[in-house]
Amino acid sequence: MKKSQNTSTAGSSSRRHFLRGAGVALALPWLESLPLFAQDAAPAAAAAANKPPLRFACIYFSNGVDTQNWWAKGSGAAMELGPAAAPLAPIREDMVFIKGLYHQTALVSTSPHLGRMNMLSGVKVSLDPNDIRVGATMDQVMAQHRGHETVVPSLALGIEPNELRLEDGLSMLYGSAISWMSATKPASKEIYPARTFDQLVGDGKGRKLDRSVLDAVLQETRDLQPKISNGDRRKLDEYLESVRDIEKRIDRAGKQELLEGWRPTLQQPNMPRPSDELPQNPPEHMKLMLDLIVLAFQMDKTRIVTCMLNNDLSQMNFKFVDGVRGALHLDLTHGKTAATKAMYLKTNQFHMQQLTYIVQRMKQIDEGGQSLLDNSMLMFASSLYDGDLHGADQMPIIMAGKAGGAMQTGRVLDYLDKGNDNRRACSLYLSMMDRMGVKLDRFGDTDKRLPGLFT
Amino acid sequence: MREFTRGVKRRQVALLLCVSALFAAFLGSNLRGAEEPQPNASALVNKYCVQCHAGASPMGGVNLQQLTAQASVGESYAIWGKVAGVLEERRMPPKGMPQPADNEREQAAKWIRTELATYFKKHDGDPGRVTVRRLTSGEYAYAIHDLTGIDPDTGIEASSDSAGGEGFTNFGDVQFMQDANLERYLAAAKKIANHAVIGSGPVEFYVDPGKTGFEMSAITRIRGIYAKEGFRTVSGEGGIPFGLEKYGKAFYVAWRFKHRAAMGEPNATLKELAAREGVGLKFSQHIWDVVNHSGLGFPSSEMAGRWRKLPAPSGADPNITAAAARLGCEDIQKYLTTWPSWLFGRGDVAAGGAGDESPLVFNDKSLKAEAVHHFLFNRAGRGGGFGRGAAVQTGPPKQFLNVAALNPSAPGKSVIVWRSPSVGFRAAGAPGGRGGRNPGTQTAGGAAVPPAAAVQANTVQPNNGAGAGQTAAALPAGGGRGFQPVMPRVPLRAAVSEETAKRLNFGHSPDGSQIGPDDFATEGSVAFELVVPDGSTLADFMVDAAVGADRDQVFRITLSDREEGPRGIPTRAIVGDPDSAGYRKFKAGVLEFASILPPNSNSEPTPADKDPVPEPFDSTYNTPEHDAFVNDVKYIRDDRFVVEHIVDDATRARLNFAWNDLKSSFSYHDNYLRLLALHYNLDLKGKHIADLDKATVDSLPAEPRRYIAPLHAEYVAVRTAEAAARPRHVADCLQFAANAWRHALSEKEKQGLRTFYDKAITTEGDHEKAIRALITRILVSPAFLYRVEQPVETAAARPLGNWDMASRLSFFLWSSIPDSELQRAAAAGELSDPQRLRAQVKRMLADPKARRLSTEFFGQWLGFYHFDQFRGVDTARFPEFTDEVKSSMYDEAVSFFEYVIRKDRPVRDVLFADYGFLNQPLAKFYGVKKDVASKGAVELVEGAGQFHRGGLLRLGAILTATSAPLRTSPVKRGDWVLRRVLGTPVPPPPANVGKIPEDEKGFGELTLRQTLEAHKRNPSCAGCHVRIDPLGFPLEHYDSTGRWRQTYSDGKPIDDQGVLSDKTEIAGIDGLLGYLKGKEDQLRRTMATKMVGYALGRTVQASDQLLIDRMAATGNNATFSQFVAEIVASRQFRNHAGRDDAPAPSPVKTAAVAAVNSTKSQAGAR
Repeated sequence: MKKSQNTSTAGSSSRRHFLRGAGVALALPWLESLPLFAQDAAPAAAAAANKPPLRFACIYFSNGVDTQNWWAKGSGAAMELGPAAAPLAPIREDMVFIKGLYHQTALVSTSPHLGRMNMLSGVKVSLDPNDIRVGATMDQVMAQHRGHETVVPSLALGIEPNELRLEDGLSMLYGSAISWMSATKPASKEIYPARTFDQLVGDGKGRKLDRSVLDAVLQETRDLQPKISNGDRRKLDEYLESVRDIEKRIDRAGKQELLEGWRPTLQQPNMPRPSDELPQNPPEHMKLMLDLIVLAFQMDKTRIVTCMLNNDLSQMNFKFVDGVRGALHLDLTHGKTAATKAMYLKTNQFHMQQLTYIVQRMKQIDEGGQSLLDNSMLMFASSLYDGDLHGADQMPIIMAGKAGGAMQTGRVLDYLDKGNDNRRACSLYLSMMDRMGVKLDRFGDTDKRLPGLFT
Repeated sequence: MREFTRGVKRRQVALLLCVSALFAAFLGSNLRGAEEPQPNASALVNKYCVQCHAGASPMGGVNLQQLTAQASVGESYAIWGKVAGVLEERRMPPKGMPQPADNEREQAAKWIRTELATYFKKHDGDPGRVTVRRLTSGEYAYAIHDLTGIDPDTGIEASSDSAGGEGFTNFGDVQFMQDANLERYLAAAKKIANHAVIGSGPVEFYVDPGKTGFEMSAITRIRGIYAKEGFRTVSGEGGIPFGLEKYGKAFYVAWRFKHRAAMGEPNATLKELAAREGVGLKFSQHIWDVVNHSGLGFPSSEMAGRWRKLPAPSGADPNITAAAARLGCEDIQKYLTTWPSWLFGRGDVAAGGAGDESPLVFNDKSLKAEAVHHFLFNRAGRGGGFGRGAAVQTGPPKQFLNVAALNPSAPGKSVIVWRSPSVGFRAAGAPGGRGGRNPGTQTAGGAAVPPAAAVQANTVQPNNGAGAGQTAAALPAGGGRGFQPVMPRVPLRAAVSEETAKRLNFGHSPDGSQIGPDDFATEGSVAFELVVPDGSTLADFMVDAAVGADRDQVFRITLSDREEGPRGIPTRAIVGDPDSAGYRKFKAGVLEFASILPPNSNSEPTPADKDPVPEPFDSTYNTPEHDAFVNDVKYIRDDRFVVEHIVDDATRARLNFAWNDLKSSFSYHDNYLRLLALHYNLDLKGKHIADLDKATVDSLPAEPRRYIAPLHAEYVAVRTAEAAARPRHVADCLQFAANAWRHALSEKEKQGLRTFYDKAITTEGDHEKAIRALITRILVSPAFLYRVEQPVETAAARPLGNWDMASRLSFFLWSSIPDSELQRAAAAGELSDPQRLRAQVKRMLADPKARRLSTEFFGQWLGFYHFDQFRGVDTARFPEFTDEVKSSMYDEAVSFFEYVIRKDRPVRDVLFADYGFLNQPLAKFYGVKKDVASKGAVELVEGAGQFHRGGLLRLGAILTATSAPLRTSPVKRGDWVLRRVLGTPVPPPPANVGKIPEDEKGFGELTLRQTLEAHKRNPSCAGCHVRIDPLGFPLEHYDSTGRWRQTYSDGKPIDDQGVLSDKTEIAGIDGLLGYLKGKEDQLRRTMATKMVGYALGRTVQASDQLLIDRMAATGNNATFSQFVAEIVASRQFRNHAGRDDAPAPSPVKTAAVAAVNSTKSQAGAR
């Protein structure tokens, strides 16, 4: 079975696909009760064995790092961290410090800004203003395969709204989205904590009216479809798909209690519903979003999350960090004075504190002898390495969590001198997707798994 | 694009066969090497340019190798244009590289220009591919506003938008939809549906949702009608009079009508005259009838009599008489509207009353009369006695007995007999002398006990009898608490001078009737002074007033210390024989007056807590029954006059709907019924009003039945009206859908919506919920959320249908759905007619809704979109940059462009206007020394240049948005001018930018200019920065929040010089404006390009170039509407592409375009 996704129509996990791949005639009724893919059998068995599921979260910070100060040496409790990574010290035994992974497509892009916004797909970013295209991202590929197992297939979170302008003639949508459902369609980023909370906690009951409204518009759209041009049809297809997705979710929510096997440790939210407004203070906003990720995992409402702490080229004013003044991109990343460079370092440290926070929280949550962190793979990364240069020769990546026992933490892995073919970030993604039970032959710019990270 | 597609295919064939000389020439250098010398730019490009502009990372992101591989210049028209430009301007190849010969250059440039021109001409007006567009968050909000009239917080906000195309959010390709978005639309639709008012009238929307909103909507509608149509002298506690001028106008209309011939308009109708005066026909007709009625009683006869006595037109100029008549009519208005206050000696201060704010009601209680009335007038008045302190009056106390005869038709003399008048004197501090607010109810304690009759408190509360008949208990003698001694009460006779006594003629009556020796009698009013004994500072006067011999006389009597009537604390009564025919006539006259010339057209629907409640309840303020009514029943309808004599049928219907809704919005009838049951001690056995039937009501005892029967009937009527409205609601929703979906509904669509409603009735349970579900469904429909245009069945481009044209127009100019006029024009097929189209454009641009073009188009183009939410200023450093300043700046920018749009100003105003918009906070923030009146919305300020404002470049929002949080950025500003104003952006910095020499990294102590100069020395930066920086520095006098400054914060002088590469110097803002004056055509071109992209919702393409040329060629005096008209008249705006979409543009071409279009140089220092 050949599967290579994220070039155009990722995630068509149709039954035909399966039948073709399996090459065996099977009785359909039996199919209904089985996972869709042969390799899904492993996680399914795990679930049956009452093992907690594996969760994935990618937390993105923009504008790279202060490369001079971004380093780590040694291992375990003895690991030494450069000043930019220093706040990770409390979690050094829970993480892997990775150097040297990159995307060839980002490196050669002629747009030093948005051309590098392909962190999770590895596909070339289209520089045609009429053709928004990044490639389906690994989180969404996982969601398309495994998302049906939870009420919410995946979450795409953020702190800053989509920027409504062009940058270098390109839509700032690129800079505002790291998660893409298909090559051409970003996952809607939710920046409102309250809405995220409602999405997780809402049980889909009392949605009879929504069902009937959706049924009606579904019919109407179908009636409309044959009449319209192909280009328009594509847009309406998105609409139709959305209608069906909601319907599916409503149906799933109704059936949730029928799930077998492992039960989440939390049935009801253990945090109050955030207020409806957008928090005005970024650190509070980030903390809320990180808490919501933990909540989502704990309640097993979703197992796949991305979260952007800031947009690319963010103008987020970092005055909330002591001793820092100015906008992240304009003033700090490209700061030329010693003072601004020192401030830029502090923004790096602030970002690292966010990772430390969520790792420590997840570590404290017990899931029957193992922590939530043990059953997770957290990826913390930026699309750029040297923020000042908009350098894409490598990406700063921190992995955390035990990935269900597959990842040995407390290590530093440097791929920089391993040869370009052996340092593809997409290899990391293929490996992570394996862990999530999504086995692809190829992703982005590689067909190789990443050696050395997982056992 | 269809033709173009064919062209490509043809070329492919040609290519294969190698027979076409033309294509061979064009593609020559690629296909056969360079040996064929053709005047073809490809050869030159391949020779001189591809060395840098080729490969995976071409210089400036411009790949010319791919360019020459293309079949036609049209595919990459923009970059070909650039190539021609740089060749003509000799900017490329760069110095140091091999240069083409001059004639090579010229020929190549000419060839490109010719090819481009041919291509543009051939494809001029091709509509191009316009992807179906989802409403942007802005359009969604505007559409909801236009549909419902309200602005609910729907949660559909900018975070679901993204910009593309020419930089606008209305570009279909970047509008994505997924379940999370749709969930928001669903939630928003439900939220909006919850604002629907579903009662007995049409479906409408109210600002508050749900049940409360329903009730509030009803009361708001009622109040709105009353305020518009009605009038009041007073309106409950603290009320202010309004609408009274309607009387004067109606009287004047009647006068004009009467004298229409003499006024030179013999054929004038009452209707015309009423319309001219701005008063309703119905009301005018009523007044006309009243003044011409012959059998009016008092006091209406007085009013009509005054009207009849108005002068008739005479003399040379009848208008002089008319002016006098108008004044006379206003006097009548004053007279009749103050008459009730006068009668009752009370009413609002504003209306000349005594400050008693209770409403004026004419009924048995308020018009009650006695043949003999006992008066007690406490001279102490408010807070003091005579001759001392802030008394009501100083000096010798004068007593006025004011008498007015109220039955002018009584046959005999209007004599009133004053029996047993007496005066009690006291010193200050004695009880009753402390200036109580209601002397009438304070009986002198410790004084000689007055005659038994005098114990009766004398004030009759005229309104409804509240307090009437209350008896103030006389305090026992000697009950004073240490008060000073009281003088003995003396007959009046002994308390006035001899002269006065003689004048009062004690013991004799003018009508000859017998009266006592201490009594006196008068015809009308009388006044006298009291002679005050030493030691006394206070006094009271007591008398019984009685009707004289003519028993038909009715008097209004006030006792006062003033001549002018009921001021201070008067005591007042109507004295007359209640059994006499005269009194009956008087009362009938007053009731007639109240019904035909009432001072109030209606009562307040929500009575003030001191207002009376209806019978049979105790209307005394603060009694349990009164309070229960006010709390539980809440509303009283008393608007007979406005309904019968003022409003037209349609308004009456709306009023009735609103009252129905109000009464059905809560358990009005049940509460009313419960209070009645309590009042009459009825046991309804827990029955609600809905449980009652006619038989039950009929079987009730007569008294309660009097009230319960009509209440029940009203309840039934309300429910019936509600039920009757249901089919209408469904029809309203169909109309709502037609508005929302922007076309006339097909039968199938209508049927679909009806079916949905029918199903919802079952699933949702009731009509109201089903209607809400229907509204939800309409608003979630793709027909609302997407701008789907009628499909074209043919392969070639076709003109848009009228409905689609209406939509394009309204979304272009209003960012919203068509209004009813546009719908009408669409339905009538007028929008295919260029002439009528133009008229619509003119109308629409003048409409207030065109302000949205300012936010959506100018805001996105120029970069102040959502500036009210701008977070890029460090407010710790700039605390003066408050939210108020920020939103004022936003208003400043939006209002400036709104003015350009709606006043149809020349386009050049955008840059060069010498006017701006300010409010007080903004003027203060900018330090502008200029009187600005408005504290809120900004206002037009002329001559703004003298204080450094006016025009686009000096807008606070722009100057702030192009700055860093803590400092200005000449690079950002210069780049902004290049890109947004001149439309000639510099390419993005090369990927390896930032390789600034190590020793230059620590700029620290250098000035901004030095910093920039430093990196200008780097050739890879210099190419662009020599273009950017000179346009940014001239704005340096504006700080990072847009304020004019004289020095930098460190005291260094402002450096606002820019020097262009050709050594042209640009000094400051004036220099910059001067420089731009020479580039007005470029501004027009940029604006044209952006506007075409915005209007069409797509990227500008080759087929738009001639349109843009036309717009740019409109000249320096071109107005805004000319620009819009060009677009609206264009083929691309009025047509859409054929069924087969043009093929997606090849990535090759567009990548190159992107690179050229792209702009900034972020990575470099700014």
